Amino acid sequence: MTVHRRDFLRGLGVAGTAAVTLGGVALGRPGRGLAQVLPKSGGKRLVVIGAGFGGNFAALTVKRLVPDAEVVILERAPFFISCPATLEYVFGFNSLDTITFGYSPLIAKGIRVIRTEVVAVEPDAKRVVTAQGAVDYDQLLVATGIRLAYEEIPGLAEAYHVNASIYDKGTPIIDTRHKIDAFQGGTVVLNSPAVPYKCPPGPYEYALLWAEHIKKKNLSAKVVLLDAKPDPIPPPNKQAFLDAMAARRDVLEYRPQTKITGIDGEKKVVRTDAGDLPFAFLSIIPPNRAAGFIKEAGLGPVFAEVDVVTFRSTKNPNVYAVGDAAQTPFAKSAYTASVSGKIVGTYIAKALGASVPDPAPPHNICYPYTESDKAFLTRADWSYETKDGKVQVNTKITVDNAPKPTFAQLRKAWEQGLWREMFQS
Amino acid sequence: MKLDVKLGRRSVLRALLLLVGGGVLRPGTAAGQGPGRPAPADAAHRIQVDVPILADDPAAVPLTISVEHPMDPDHYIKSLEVVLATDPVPQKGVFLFTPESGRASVAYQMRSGQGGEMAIVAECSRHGRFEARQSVRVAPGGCAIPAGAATREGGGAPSVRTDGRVRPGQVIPVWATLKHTSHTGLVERQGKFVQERPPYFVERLTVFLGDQRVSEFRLTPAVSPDPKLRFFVKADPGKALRIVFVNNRGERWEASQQIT
Repeated sequence: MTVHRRDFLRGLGVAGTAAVTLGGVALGRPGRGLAQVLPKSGGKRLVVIGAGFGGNFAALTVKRLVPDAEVVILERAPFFISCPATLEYVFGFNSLDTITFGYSPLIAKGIRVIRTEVVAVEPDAKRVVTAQGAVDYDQLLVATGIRLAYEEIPGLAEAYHVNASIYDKGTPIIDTRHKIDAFQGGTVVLNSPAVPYKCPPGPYEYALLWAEHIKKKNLSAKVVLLDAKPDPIPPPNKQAFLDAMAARRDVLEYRPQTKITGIDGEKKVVRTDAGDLPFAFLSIIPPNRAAGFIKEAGLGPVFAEVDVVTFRSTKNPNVYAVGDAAQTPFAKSAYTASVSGKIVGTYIAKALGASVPDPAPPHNICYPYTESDKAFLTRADWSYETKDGKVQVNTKITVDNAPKPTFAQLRKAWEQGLWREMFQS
Repeated sequence: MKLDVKLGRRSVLRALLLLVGGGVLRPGTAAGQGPGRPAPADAAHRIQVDVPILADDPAAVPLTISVEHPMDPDHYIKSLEVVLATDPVPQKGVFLFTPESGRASVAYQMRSGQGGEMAIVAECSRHGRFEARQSVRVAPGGCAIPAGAATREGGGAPSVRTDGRVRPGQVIPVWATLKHTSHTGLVERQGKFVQERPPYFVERLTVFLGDQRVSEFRLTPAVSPDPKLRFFVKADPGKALRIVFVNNRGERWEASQQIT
């Protein structure tokens, strides 16, 4: 089922008083009778939409650099779930309690976390409209990550229960873990969507871990990875993934340049532009888009358009965007979002009066799995260069494409480091 | 079946000018062309274009073009041509089909410096030409290595792959690849593109079933290095599927696979 903004507002209308206030928004009469979630801002309020890696690191940075700033995070999920650990979780290598975190450590540092759904952003009025009412801001950071566009693959929204999701945060991954555990055999159909999508190596790691799972359990099964692209990405790791998949070719088939055009959940068939494919197990990632309010608020056609140095919106000076919701030349990864979160936090702190030096450009470190105890290394270091008065981003890539147990261990340490930094008391 | 389509750059640009000037074209739509003989505006004469909403590598923008049209001996799609007029190398390839191609569809990667509006021209053997337009947005960077000038020139490792067992007449996907560097030979100086050296690129991929030539794809310097194409053939078990790549220096690479 697709929930559109209007339907959502209509649904709220049934609930009672909110009907009157939010109805005003739907009818384009901002400012009239909309409940205020917070008292009026004292002039130093940062509102962060989304408590993921980017949003949390930005909030923490601002609170550290500007202690009297009022930092408010709007988040719909009851707890933080660490997406990079999802693959390990669904195959049973870790448990949910080790990869989820409550927001109390952030609250203890003076950050306000409000659990709500954001309905709209009104840059002219400098406020965010939520399911509870309006939240005014002085500076706004959009850190909403990607939105899974189920509606773009015909039949997928109706087959929601058939598809074992790995990119949905929260409870759907619990379902996926149970389904993988119960899987007895047949064809497993996975996909790697068209760019842009978050965690470029993710789908290939997932396919390789599936192949390992089939071999370990001695299942009569095979994995078909449908790739909308001609090759695995990121490009520096292309051959490493092709080699790893070729080594599993008895149970893993890689089909490049194949677009999913529809799902028949009842007949258990994936329709592609190169023919139909029956499945016993479906686990596909829908197209990755950004929250609809970004376009509605004029912040960008799909993702929020930002200055690549400061992450400040090119459309509105009081709005910033970071992580997967922002259109940047940087990788859509948790690590990049974390580093960028600190950078944008520093620039927001400066906008709120802090006197601190400019931060360095972002970098990314990633250890993609080829099997559960081996990974390789890919690192990107970005730098800025001004050419003809325009800032250009240069990329320096460092790779070690030989899978090693050390990198698999480093991956765990890498993620745990991010958790500690975010959630230590 | 003879491959007899000739689509020159000039004719395509002229057609584009006419259509743009006349306001006939709208993004994502196809329109018939040719006085007195427009292709019917039905589903069979609609060009489907698939590009990412935001391509992250200007040296390899993935693109799939198809027309879901019958491929009968007396009524089929003869060609598809891709042009991005605002790019320094506007021609992005001409793809010639026969009824034995089974389906007028090709997936490949092109270079596009800035993106822009592409024109895709199809030709139906009975109804003449029709077109579609599609805008492409290209964001440099992402996880990609920035496009640099290829200094080494060379090619090798051709490959062709199809599905397993097939029924006679079944239309099957084929993947053909070649490792081959390519460059346009263009250098940007003071905002203008200058041809500093001759281009180096794969200029043709020909597809044979047995001895019969079923499809021919004419590529340009604006097709990405290491070309990878997915297309279709009407399967004929027992026959060999053979592909031949030729570059603009006349070097050839062949690969074949028996259809079972």
